[in-house]
Parts: sequence; structure tokens; C-alpha cells
Amino acid sequence: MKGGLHLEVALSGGVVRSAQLRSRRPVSLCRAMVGRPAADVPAAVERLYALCGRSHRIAARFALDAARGRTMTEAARREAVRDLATERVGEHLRSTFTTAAGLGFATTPVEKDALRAALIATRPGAKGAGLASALAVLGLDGAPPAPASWTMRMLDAVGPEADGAGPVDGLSPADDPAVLAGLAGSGLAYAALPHLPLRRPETGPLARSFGTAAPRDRLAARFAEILQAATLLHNDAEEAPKSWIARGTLLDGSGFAAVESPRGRLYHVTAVDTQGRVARFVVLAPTEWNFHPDGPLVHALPGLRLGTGTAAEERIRWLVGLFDPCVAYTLDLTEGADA
Amino acid sequence: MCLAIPALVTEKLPDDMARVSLEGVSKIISLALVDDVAVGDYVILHVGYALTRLDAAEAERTLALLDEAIAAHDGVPV
Repeated sequence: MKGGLHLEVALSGGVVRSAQLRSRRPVSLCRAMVGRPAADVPAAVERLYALCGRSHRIAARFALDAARGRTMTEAARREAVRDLATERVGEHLRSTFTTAAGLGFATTPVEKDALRAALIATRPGAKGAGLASALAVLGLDGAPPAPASWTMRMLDAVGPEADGAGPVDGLSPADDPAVLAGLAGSGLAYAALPHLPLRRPETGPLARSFGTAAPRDRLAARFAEILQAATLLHNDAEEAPKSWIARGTLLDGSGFAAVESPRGRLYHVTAVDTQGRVARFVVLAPTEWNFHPDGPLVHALPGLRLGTGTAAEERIRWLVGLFDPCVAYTLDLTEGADA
Repeated sequence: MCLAIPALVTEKLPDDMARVSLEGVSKIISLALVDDVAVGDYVILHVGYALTRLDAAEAERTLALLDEAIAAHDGVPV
């Protein structure tokens, strides 16, 4: 399938001088839901957006319910929170492993077995059985990770603890009204290039933790979320913040839902006609914020001192991986004369 | 957009690798994150890794939905 991200970075003297991001993400695929019976759509979006399928299914379900005037029961909310937590653990682990493996990070056979066991435990319907013991093998048991653990080696591979990075501008539930106004007014055009006045917000683990923009903090925030989600599963979803799922109706009667997917806040806006078929369906995914051509990744790069050659490319790929695109990307790195 | 695509496993290779057919194109992918995959199975593929195993019927439904979605996308430039 065509589509994806292309990042161009220019280095001079080991310092990033410019960065440009081009996107060919197929954001209007969600139009395939229009005309379908509303009851079929949650399963269809789970199949279409397979990487974060459960988050999409939950967002679609609650948005469609809102559009049809249906309420969300506490039992449904708790079941959805469990699914979101389970998907969060699995996607954070998978994304971290694949990014690191692509950069030559060594994972031992025992750690690979534990990783695979954790991913099996987070599949739909697996209910997290065996998750805690698998995470413990990786150094994710709540205690400070041992120096030789997968977790600590990964943190060390990303970079030092403090590098003077400032706090991130995180997209939060308080931004929902402004985002939904954009989606209500401009639909797919807003979903393709979302924006908020005077801001370049990012969404995802670091935004949810209000940390600093140091790469190590990004990975630490992801690991912290794995632990929080695993604890939440153990406690039967009693402690999940209400903001993990928001839903309601817009002024025109459309239903919306915003859910905290692994990569960040995911929005669905939909309308249902009198025959019960979907008349409108718009999806705004976290990647559209984080990989906006004028967004947080592009602005995080200029000025970074990355060295040259392979070392510079590895640090860029770590950073991109920690922003966690949900589509493939290509990187074009050019190096000029020393400044 | 969270997309991942079904691919048909055509050959298992050493070191948790496999050859798959994706939209008619042969590719080498990793099976490191899945278990019990055999030749003839479909897997959901993302950035070179198999994420989950699918049966043939589910894979066909997913591919048909992707075709519909791509057709809908092609009609709406954004």
C-alpha cells in the first residue's frame, strides 16, 4: 500500500540544521465506513486499523452509541479500559523491541521468550495471563531495573538521563473541545493536519506524563505506562482515569469519542442516518499530531548535536521510534561541511 | 493510521524469519514476535514484523476491506 512518512534531516558539524517531514498517510481510509450498518463498524475499524485495533473499535463503538443517543454503562467502560490497557502494554513492548532491533540492540533468547510471552498475554481475549512474570524477566516489575536488565540496557542505549530538554506541550483531555470543533468544522482536512492556536502539541506516553523532551525520558515514560497498565489490569481497571474515554455529541448531533490509545489520544466523529447506516466517519489518529509537517518531531530536531554518520542516523531513528509512528517511514540524512 | 496488512507465509527461514507474499511481492520478514506460524498461514505485517496470525477467511475479509478503503481514499484527496 502506498503511503507513509519521509523525513529529511540536514546535518552540519554534527548538529541538525534543518528537518522536513512529508506525509502521504492515507487519512481518508475511514470513508470506507460510510454507508455501512453502524453495528458492523466497530469490528471493521478494528480490522482496518490493525495496529491499534482495539482502541479504534472502542472509539467507534462509543462514538456510534453517542450518535444514536445511547449511554455508556459502567461495565462497558471498565471492559473498554481493560482492552485499552492490554493493547497499551503490547504495543509499547512491540514498538520498543522493533525500533531497538532495527538499531542493532541485542535482546537475549530468554528476553525474546519473555517478550513473546508478554505479547501473547496481551492479545485480544488473553486477559493478561502470565504478563507479570514475563515483564519481570525484562526488568519491568516495579522495582528499579537492574543494570543488566533489558529495560535498563535499553534506557542506556537511548541516551543520558538529563540533557537540558524542556517540558513537552502535551495534548490533553482539556483540548478535546477545540479538537472536536476542528473536526466538526473541517472533517478530514482537520484530521489530516490538526492544529491548535500557537501550539505544536504531541500526544502519547510523554505527553500523558508531562515529562521533559529528553529521549531517555520518552522511553522511561513508555516503560512507566507499561507498568501502570499492567497494574491496572491486575486491579481490574478500578483505577483508570476517567479521561481514558470521553464521548458525547456535537452541536450537529454527531457522536464523538476520544480514547487514550497506545500512541496517544485518538478521536472518532460519526453520524448515523435514520436507517442505522453511517453517514459520516472521521478518524484523527495520534500520528497526525506527532508527525505533523510543522509538529513536535520536526521542531525537536534542529539544534540537536548528534555527531556524524551512523551515530547521527541511529540517534535520529531512536527519536523517531520514540515518537512512535504507526506507519512506515524513510529517512534521508545529508551531511554538509563542518560549521 | 495504525495500518497493518495481511501477508501469506510462503516459506519459513532460519532465525525466526520467513518469506511472505504481500500484494504479489515476495518479502523477507521476522516471526520473532509470533508463535506457531506455518507455511500457508496469513500474518498481519507491520514494518517487517509479523504481529499476529490470521486464518485465511479473516485475511480475505481484511484484504477486501483494505481494497474498499483504498478505493474510498483514492476518491478523496486530502
